[in-house]
Amino acid sequence: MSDRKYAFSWELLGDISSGRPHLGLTTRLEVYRLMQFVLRDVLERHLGTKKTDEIFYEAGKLAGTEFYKKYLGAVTDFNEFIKNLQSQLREMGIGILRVEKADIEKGSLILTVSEDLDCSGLPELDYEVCVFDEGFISGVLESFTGKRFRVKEVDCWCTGDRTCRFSAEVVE
Amino acid sequence: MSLPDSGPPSASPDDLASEIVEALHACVQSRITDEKLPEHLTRIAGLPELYSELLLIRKFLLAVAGGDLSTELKIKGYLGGALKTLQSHLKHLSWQTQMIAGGDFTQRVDFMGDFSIAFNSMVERLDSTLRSLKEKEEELTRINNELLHEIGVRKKVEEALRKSEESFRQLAITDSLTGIYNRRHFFQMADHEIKRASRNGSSLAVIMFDIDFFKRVNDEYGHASGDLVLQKVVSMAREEFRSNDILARYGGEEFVVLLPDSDLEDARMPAERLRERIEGTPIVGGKGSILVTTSFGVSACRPESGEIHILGRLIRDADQALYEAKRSGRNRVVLAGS
Repeated sequence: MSDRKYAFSWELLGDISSGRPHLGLTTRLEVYRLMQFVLRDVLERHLGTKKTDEIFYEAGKLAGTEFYKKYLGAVTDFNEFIKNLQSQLREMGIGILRVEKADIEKGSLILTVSEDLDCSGLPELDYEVCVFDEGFISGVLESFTGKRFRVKEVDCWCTGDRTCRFSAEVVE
Repeated sequence: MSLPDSGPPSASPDDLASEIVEALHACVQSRITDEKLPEHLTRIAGLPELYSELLLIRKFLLAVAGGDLSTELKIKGYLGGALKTLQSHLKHLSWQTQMIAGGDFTQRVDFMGDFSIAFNSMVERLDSTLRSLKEKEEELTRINNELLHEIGVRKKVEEALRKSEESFRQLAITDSLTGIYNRRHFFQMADHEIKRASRNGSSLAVIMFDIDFFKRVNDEYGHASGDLVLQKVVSMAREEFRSNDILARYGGEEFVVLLPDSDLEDARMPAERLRERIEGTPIVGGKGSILVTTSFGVSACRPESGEIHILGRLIRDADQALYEAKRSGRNRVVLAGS
């Protein structure tokens, strides 16, 4: 598609430092969630729940891929990669990533994210909502391994920091 | 668990409450043998679900207490969340410990209170100890490498010294022009052979030979050509005698050969071959081709047992035979006593 208006690039985000000399690099988290949840609302009304989740997963995956390229590239050791990912997510206030199980040879991981940007503090629901996170994790893992991953939020619990548990399995 | 098997349907609210408390209390406090809620209590709204959740939490906690972190807790809510948080932390701790075991000492725990402090302190101590050990190992490796280098240098020096000694030894025993033994070393070697022959009762022969009219070669062709003639004659002599024959430069243009296990006839043959070869071999030098001849005197004897001072006699007899060869016309082999 040559006439695209929104093909992602980091340049689109602009020079935030010089653009916000007084307000700085951060904003209140509710503004971020406001945008995300109203987007879900409108997308769902136009496209339905399933398609909305698919779009969020795909957008998360693109975010994970671009995030990997910008912040995590040039590491070949898996443990080093995980350490860098943990460090970046924490430093940027995205979430606290912990590893419950990681068998990169078999392509099987169980990860948890606490104090998550998208969902921590949400009421515990009967369904999982972190589809953007699922896509993000799959994008990062695929970029590192070169293999396709299917990531699913398998559990979440509201203990104050609402931790989400994700399973990631390589797709043969 | 002690639960009422059947309660009266018309029991008072207090009795019913008491039974519910007893059932829940048993779930918390006792070893349950029957997980079923009494039939009449299952009709109480919400109680079977609560009881079921309590049983799930029991099973989960018992599994975790037994070290099994793989049990899945399928309940939601705050208590379930807290337990899942604990499970998740313990699993993450296991993973972190594996990372530390693999050498990643940057791992830190920040979610388990006092244990985190103790654990992190242990990792830092381990890191520091291993770092210190590594530094010591590197220091030892460095010292070891220096020692190996020093040993290498010393070995080279020793080798150079050995070669130097060998070179001096060769210079001391050989004639620098022709490369064969000098007269002094010939006597040492011959002494050894005579003792062996005396022990074994074997015979020995001595050949004395020199180049006829060698002074003329020097005078006519120069000393460089004279030296070349000496070298070529020796080269041919080396090829005609056996490897265990002792060939030496006796002095000037005169040579001596001691032939172990040889009598007069045995010695005469190589002497004759050499004479003929020299006679027929032009030596090409800077000033043209030179033909020389040689004269030979041969002596031999079989020393008696214990008779070791015979070398003088053998040389003297060979020398007289050589004299006879000269006197009778040169370019010939004369046997002593013939």
